[in-house]
Amino acid sequence: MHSAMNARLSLAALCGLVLAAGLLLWAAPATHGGPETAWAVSHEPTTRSIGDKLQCPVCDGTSVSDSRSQIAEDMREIIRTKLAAGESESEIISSFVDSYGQGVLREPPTTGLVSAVWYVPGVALLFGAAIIYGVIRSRRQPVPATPGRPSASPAARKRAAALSPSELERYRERLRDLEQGGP
Amino acid sequence: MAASDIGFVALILALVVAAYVIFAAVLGHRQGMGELVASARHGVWVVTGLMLTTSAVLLYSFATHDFGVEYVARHSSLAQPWYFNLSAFYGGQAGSLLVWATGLGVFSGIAVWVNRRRHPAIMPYTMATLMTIQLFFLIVLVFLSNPFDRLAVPLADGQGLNPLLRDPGMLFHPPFLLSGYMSWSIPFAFAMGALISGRLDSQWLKAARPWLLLAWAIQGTGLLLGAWWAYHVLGWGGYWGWDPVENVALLPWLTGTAFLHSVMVQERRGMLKKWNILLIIITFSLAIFGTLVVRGGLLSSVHNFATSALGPAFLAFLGFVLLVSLAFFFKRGPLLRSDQQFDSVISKESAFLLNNLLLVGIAFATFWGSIFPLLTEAYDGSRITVGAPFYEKVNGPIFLGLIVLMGIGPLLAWRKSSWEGMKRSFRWPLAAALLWTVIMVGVLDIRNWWTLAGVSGSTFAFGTVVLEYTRGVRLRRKNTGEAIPQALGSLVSRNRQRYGGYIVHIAILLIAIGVIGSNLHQKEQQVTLAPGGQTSLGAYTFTFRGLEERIKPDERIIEAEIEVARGDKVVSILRPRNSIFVNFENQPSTKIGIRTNPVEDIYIFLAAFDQNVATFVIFINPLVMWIWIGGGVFLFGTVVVMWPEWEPARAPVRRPARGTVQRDA
Repeated sequence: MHSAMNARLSLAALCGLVLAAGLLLWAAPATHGGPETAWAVSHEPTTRSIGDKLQCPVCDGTSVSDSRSQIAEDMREIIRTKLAAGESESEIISSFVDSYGQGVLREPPTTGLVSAVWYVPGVALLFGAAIIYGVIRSRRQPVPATPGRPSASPAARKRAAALSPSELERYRERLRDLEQGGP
Repeated sequence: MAASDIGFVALILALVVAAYVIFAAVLGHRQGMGELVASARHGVWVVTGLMLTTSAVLLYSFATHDFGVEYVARHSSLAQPWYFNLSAFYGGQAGSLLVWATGLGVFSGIAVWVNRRRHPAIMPYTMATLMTIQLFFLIVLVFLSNPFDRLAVPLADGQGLNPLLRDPGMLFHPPFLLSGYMSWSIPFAFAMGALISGRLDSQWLKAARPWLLLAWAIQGTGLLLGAWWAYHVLGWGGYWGWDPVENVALLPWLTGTAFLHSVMVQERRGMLKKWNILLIIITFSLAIFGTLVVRGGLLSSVHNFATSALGPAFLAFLGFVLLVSLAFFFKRGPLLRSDQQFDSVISKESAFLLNNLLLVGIAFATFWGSIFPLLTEAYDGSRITVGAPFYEKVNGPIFLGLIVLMGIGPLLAWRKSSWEGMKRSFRWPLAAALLWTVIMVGVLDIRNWWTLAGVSGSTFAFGTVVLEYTRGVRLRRKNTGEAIPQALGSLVSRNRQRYGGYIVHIAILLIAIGVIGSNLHQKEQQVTLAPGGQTSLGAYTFTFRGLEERIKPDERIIEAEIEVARGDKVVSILRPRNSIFVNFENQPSTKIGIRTNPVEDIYIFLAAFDQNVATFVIFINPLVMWIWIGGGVFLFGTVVVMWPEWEPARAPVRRPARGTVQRDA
């Protein structure tokens, strides 16, 4: 009907907008491409990028990059030397894991039992979403007429059906205003 | 007897009186002895007075340099400026706990005073709950961590405050955070009062609501001040490190935020009663957990200036709180049935549920990440680190979801939203978001997906707030013919909760923009320069002019001077410095050189120096200023929501006392 057609129309409009935005995104790099704004961030490993992934072993909570302790300074020096010697990022990081243990990684590993740290929050979130969905759905039985909640009489329904959308909207706004404690 | 002994005596008296209040309030109420309940009420005010006395005595010991008191000797000194000698009050463990307990004494006193003629069935149990918490802290203060312990031989001079704490930010951050943790006690006590008495209608919510908002505002301010302090002192160019101590301070704020939203569903529709009580219990437990982590040293972190044997005591108290509150929760379950049912999946109620899911989801992920290293260590002894990247990856997307929801929720109708109305509503916010995306991509040349999604989402949510305001103002003008400013004023004052809440939404969006800019678009460079040396980063050129040394009674300052130029124009002269304090020579403290404007901060940290050269870490942090502006807007919005309603009808009518417990002194 009327609203269904409107729904389809606006859905089409939305798709159009998304498409247009996508095209814009796609076309833009061609005109504005620079090394700093390149699409795929070229990831040349640096002392900084590797240091960001390592935890300073003596100062709780700060990375090797951010810490000003002597040991972090030494570790940065080791990273610089190894990078200059042509070692890859993963080689350098695993050499630190060998000497300091897994605790030197700022990001917990994604394999083994320890990977629970990653998936448990996701599972919990899904579980919560399922509960909420269940709660909303299960209570969607027709609500029985209760005192203080008069159901509309057939005559009133007929009158309501005769109202134009703009009239209805006016009533809704008036109701909203009343709910807000307006005049 | 030394002056400090008066403080200790007051602590012991407070302990005795708190225990008496618990007994008198419960017994008096059960036996219908109004006098006994009234005396319990007076007992609460006596505890308030005793706690204030205790704190005043400790302040006096600091002010008079009584280095016979171990706590004073360890945290203050003769040369230290007076304001740091006073803030040394909460520079250590015993004093921090005393701040907590004194705050609770004062808040309890006010809460009991405000409700002295109201809620006769609930208040006795509320008082008993408050004083149980108070009793626990007093036991800890008297037996485990006494701020008034005296040294056998008084010292000639004290040691002074930890250098990291000698910063103006530290004058305010700790008391706010401690009071934040503390103030969740009051709404929790009202919830317990309702649970124990079985009076689970909306009365307790009305009594608890202002306290909840207050706790939420204090905790939020504490978090912001902590971020401010970290940014201006720690020197790694950021303000939030997902450090365990920061994380646990965020937890009650998140669940409290969830409560402030879901409680609207209860007020409006009489639903979610169980969930709301549970949220309060969780929030208070997290506040105790936070205190336990900060003061009991459960998780190690840069913030742990105090280590102690308090852990087990706090853990036991936390267990006790959970056990008792959940027992009553299950006992009263049948009374917490919903008055109404959900009508539709697309409704404001659903939006609030989703909001709760996301907020509690962030809280859970953060809690889980913080305790996970403990779990692995207990399991097989392996030590792993859960650092900032974990939280950014897990919480970042959830925060993004929350921002988008912030744009959707306010426009949905209660019960059921029609497609027709939604389409009308979302038109403008969506158009604004799209326009801004095009500008970001086409003009500002931004290619980071997270930035585009985050900023567009924020624009969408901002558009929603603007739309809600314009609709409301237009409606009022149509109905009353007021001018725009008057219409705006009366709109807000007639529904503070709603329109003040929208102001807080704007604050959160401003903070989000600042976080996105500074996290995803930071530039950084470490450089070692000789005087006269130059380097450049971004659009700026930095010239090192030289070092200067200054000696003060309790510190030696080494200050570098750097000229910052953009093109040929000198933008600013920055002076990052190091301070080396007497007694803490191996712990130099730093002050960052910062030039701030709405676009970006230039942030220079003096990392190392010798006679010839100095090493600097230079950061360019875009949009950081908006985080602090957002903080101001947050406070403003909270004040709008909390501003007391005028109740002219209340003053002249004084009803005769009803029932025994209403008799008042």
